[in-house]
Amino acid sequence: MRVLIAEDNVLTRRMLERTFERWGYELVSTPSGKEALDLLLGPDPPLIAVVDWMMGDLDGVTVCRRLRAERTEPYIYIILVTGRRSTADIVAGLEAGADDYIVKPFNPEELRVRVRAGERIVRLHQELVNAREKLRLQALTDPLTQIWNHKAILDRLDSEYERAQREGIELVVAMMDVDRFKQINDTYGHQVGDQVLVETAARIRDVLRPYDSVGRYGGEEFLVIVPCQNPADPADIGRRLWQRIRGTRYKLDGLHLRVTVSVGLSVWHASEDIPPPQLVQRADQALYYVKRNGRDNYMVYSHMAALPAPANAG
Amino acid sequence: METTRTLLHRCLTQVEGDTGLLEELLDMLPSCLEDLMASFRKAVVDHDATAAHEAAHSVKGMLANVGFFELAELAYEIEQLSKASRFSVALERMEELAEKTNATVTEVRKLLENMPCGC
Repeated sequence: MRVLIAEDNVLTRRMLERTFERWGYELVSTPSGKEALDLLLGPDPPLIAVVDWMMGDLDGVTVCRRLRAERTEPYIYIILVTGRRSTADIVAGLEAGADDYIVKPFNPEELRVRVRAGERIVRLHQELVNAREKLRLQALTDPLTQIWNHKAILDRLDSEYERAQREGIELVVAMMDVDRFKQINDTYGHQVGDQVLVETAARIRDVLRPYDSVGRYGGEEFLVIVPCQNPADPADIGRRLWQRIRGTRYKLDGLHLRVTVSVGLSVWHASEDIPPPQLVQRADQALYYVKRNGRDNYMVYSHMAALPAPANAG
Repeated sequence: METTRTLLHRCLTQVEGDTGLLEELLDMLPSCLEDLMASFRKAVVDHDATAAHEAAHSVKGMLANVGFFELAELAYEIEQLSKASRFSVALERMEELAEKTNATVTEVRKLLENMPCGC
């Protein structure tokens, strides 16, 4: 674990450096309170800081106060080193955000156990943050396919829409539906149906770039969001998605299934005032068109007007 | 008044028996002290009680960390004199403290050099 030592007295700093090195810590040290604060607020900060109370340019208490005000994560455990012994001073130091304090002259044994206590706190905090992040991801991820769930993909659409507005880029939305999925379930069972969905999600991801998004919109429906820096060709995106699914058979538990999808697409251009729900609705209408015209195809909403009215097939 | 041997023992405790570190600190101590003395003298000339107090405070912390507790006590007295703006007495004591510190460093270093291996 990396430790920051902020101490303006060169002799005391050297003593702390050597002591911490002997204990096996990786060190960053500075004589300056300002530099200490910069390091603690910067990228990849040391997670334990041993900070002298009195330093010429910025005192340790101010370092604590500003760090707590400006950074909450990762949690940095601060030990104030002080010659002050009065209760009022100690209270002031702890209220400023220090986790612990040690009075000079510090006993190395005592300092070591206090630093170890700090390490335990830092590790516990890291575990909590990791667990929270895992829970957050679980809440956003579809457990079967491991892609975004319904709520998460709509949130992504909102944020991508805002970004597209800011940057003046285009946004393609594709709604995909696995054709005759009920028949797959009825014929091969729900476990195979689940595997079809997992494989479909994986194939969609194959087609997409890392910054595109895909989510499970409903049972066998997928929503895809593709931001486009250059003028978008939604038909090309639709064709690639459609082709990736139907191009090769799914190999599942000894079965070789031919799976197809219907894809409806809509596009948002920078100058248009079409909110995200309407983009989804348009993609859905295009999807509906494909389904009513025999499935296993793709269609862009804006191209539908030029086509004959759909047949009444279900 | 403690003996130099007792003092050496305490200094070694402060560095967890790391004789190399203690030697290094004893080498550094006179010049570090001189730097702080310069700040202290300037504060006295400026009649700046806060700056004088801070310099004395730093001297106290440094001496105490090395294990020179008795000398740190003297530095504490100087801190209090500075706080009370009793500059001439404080300066006199500080000069005495510097002399005592340098003498103590010499004694401890000599004893450290003659210390049998493994002690």
